[in-house]
Amino acid sequence: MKKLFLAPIFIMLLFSCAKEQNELPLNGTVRINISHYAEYRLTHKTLDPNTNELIIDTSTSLKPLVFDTLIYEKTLGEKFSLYKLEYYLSNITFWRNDKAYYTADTIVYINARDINNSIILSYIPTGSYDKVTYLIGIGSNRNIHGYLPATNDNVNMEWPSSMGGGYHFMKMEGYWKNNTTHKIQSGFAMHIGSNGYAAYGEYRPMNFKVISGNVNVVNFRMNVNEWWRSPNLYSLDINGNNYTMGDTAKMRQIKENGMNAFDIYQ
Amino acid sequence: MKRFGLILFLIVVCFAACKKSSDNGNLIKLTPYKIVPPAFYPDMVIPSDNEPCVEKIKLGRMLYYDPQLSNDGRYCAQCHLQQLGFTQTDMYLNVMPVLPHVNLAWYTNYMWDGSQKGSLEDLMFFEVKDFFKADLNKINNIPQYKSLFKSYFGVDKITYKELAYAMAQFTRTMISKNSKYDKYLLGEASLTNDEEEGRKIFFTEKGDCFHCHTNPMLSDNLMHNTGLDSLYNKEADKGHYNVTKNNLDLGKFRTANLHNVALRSYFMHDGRYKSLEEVVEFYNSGMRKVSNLDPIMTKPGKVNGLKLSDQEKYQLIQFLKTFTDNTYISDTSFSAL
Repeated sequence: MKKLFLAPIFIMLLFSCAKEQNELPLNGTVRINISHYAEYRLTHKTLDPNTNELIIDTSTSLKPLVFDTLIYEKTLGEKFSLYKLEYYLSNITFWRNDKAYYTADTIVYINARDINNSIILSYIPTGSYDKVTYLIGIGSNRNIHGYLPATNDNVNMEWPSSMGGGYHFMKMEGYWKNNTTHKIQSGFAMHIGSNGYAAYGEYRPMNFKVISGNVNVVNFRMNVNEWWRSPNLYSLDINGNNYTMGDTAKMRQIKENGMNAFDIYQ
Repeated sequence: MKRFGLILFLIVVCFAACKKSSDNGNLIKLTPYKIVPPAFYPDMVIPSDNEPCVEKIKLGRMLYYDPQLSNDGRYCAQCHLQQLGFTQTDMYLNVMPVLPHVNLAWYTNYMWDGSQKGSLEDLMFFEVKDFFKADLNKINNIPQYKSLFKSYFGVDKITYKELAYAMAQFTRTMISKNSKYDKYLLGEASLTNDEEEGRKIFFTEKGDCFHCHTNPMLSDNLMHNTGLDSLYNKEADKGHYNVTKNNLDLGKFRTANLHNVALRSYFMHDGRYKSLEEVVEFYNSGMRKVSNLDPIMTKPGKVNGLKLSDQEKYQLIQFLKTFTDNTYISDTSFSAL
């Protein structure tokens, strides 16, 4: 009789174990491929067959970033070249039903001069996700002097302690020229850093599935022009606008524009 | 019986392995050496085929001080004098200041114009083969070297590679880490008021030195045009352009490492300035506006110089003097054997 009394408990335990085993989350790998582009203005010249007039038409094309070439053009007509583009990507979070389901621990230094930039995230729980969010920069809780391993790259990205410490979130430097105002070529340095100035971005895929056993690829394509476009149309040709570090108003504009910097697709 | 056979087999295998090792180059057991930089320095990248060991470091040190390295009596320590932070008071061939040997282990670009790249082994390969034009026949006929390279590197014939590797072993240990500023970073020293004010100028937008002279290495090891010239009359003034032939690299030079900067007699790639006061004054008021001036130096309000007061210039120099490391210039482990 005593044994019969224990039977239901034993059966319950058996079922609960079986259920737990079914719910064991499986993990998958996500590879984020990162590439960098900028806008290049193409001029088309054609001869009108009726009037024999030269018709000049322009269009914008997105080209893979080539450093040190003054060929790219901003919305405001300023031509620019890039000399340096370094930044951190962090807080990469996978969302399901508007709930943060998994946040990758990594803070990844990206140097756009490296052609093959990619991030491998392992142990992402399998299943469908409806949003991926990220920071270009580092969240306040980790933007602390010495938080990152002391590699040459990280050390060179440090933000001086006299200015709040932590790390530069992005260094984008280069040269620009305005052909219409005929100013001589000059430099620009878009640096953002300090807590609160990391650029937040999100991607809402229709159905992003992480499948166990697969390398699930997401492509992050940065359009450099976006850093100057929206919501803040940013001209380098305004006195003082070529340099952002230490200027919270300018850093805020750049940070806000940074939310559109990446075009993300699978 | 089977067990006995197995044991016998293992003994034979072990014996054969040891014997093989012994026959293969008379290698002695080398003593691993742990290079210990300050905790706040970046991680050092050491090639896996040249892990530091006491014996090879000592061998590199011998070569560093040995006139036999070249056929014309030149050797590293001839121009890199320890008491001056491994540089010298005279200019090399009256053309350029001798770059100090300090914290080279973290570099990947070398020379004023960045004409050499890679690891310390790569740099030293260039030094022994192209700069000193080491005579391998001569080196191979020096019994001491012949024996030491055989023992440490397992080679019967010394090549540029082994010379370079030995010298890289020694130069990788040449770390300046006991300056007042280093101690300040460790919380072991405090700065005077003037030094502290100078530090603030250095590490804020006021002086904006830190973008190139990054903390704590005091050099980002990259190429920059700091507006020294607007015309490049001399070939040497063209800097990194001479390496890449890209106009954007005109007048670009590698950021100087500021460790022991106050011990130097000449500054900039051509030694045009003879004191820290002259250097600071150049950044304060002497920069030329050139189209490829480093973007960092085009900050609004600073395009004509830093505009520091006399007191601020003095304070900045006082801070630069805290980079002097008296231990480094007297440490006998870097001296001639």
